[in-house]
Amino acid sequence: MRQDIIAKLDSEERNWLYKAIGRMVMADKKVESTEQRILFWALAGLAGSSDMTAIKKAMSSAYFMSPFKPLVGLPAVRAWDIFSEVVLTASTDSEFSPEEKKLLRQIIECLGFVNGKHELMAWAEQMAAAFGKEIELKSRLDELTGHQVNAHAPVHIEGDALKSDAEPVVNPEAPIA
Amino acid sequence: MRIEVLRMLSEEQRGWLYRAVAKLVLIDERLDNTEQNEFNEVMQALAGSLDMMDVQDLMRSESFSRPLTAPREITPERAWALFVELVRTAVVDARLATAEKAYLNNIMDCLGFAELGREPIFQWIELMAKAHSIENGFAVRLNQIIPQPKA
Repeated sequence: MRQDIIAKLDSEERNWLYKAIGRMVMADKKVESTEQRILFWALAGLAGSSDMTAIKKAMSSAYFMSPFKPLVGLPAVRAWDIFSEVVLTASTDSEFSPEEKKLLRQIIECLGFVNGKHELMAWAEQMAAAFGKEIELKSRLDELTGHQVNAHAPVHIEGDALKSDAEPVVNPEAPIA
Repeated sequence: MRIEVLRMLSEEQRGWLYRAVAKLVLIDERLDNTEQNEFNEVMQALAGSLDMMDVQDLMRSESFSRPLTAPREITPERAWALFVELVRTAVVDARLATAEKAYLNNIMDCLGFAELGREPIFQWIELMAKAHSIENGFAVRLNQIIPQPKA
């Protein structure tokens, strides 16, 4: 997530964004290794804490699980910030699953997009393809650098998907030095 | 830059990334709106403020001007993470100038990437630039895709 975008949003918009990112990452019922850190940060943002108990509580909260509702009075530029952030952050798979597409369409509706919806979906898919290429390159790091790296390690949500070495040990709200 | 990436970096790696991003933005010579935020972010981190005097002092300093060398004992995964973050900044304005391409090549040398895999890496970078070009197009015609009620 980009700090400059997060900083522009008020708390309601920020929580909406965290929820959208979290739900997108979890939509296909599995969390790739590349997505674990993103999911953690989104849920930590929503919980307002990096404590695992608080994060799990946020993940099972009624707010997180409920259908998306439009943000009243959201300016177009802020809607775009939120949508582009969801796409750039949560579309780290090389392609969208049907569940992710469905969710993305709901997000587009709730953010107030009226025209260009198909183009927005096409852009999101193009971005996902670019991120997919990035993941593919990472899986070939041994070739690129002469070392062995495991870039693909899907982790299922059930269980301890969030308890990984991807878990930061710092407060997500604290400034970065 | 992405919070989740910055947080996983050591202080040295973060400093390296900030310098690398600042140099990249300066190479472009054309600082557009999409790059301005990234530039402000790194300058705030490196110079401690966005005051023009502080920024100029920083850019004249030896620590900023000296060539980048790889952070100590960096793993390939971390080198890749740094490179990806840099690429994401390079393509945010949807174009990759020749000088930026040469700079990224130098960065790959610096981070120990082999010559062999650079073609697919640049193909990926082009793909990212194209996707950002579409993104920037939406941002320009925002009032058409999200018509706002008249006040």
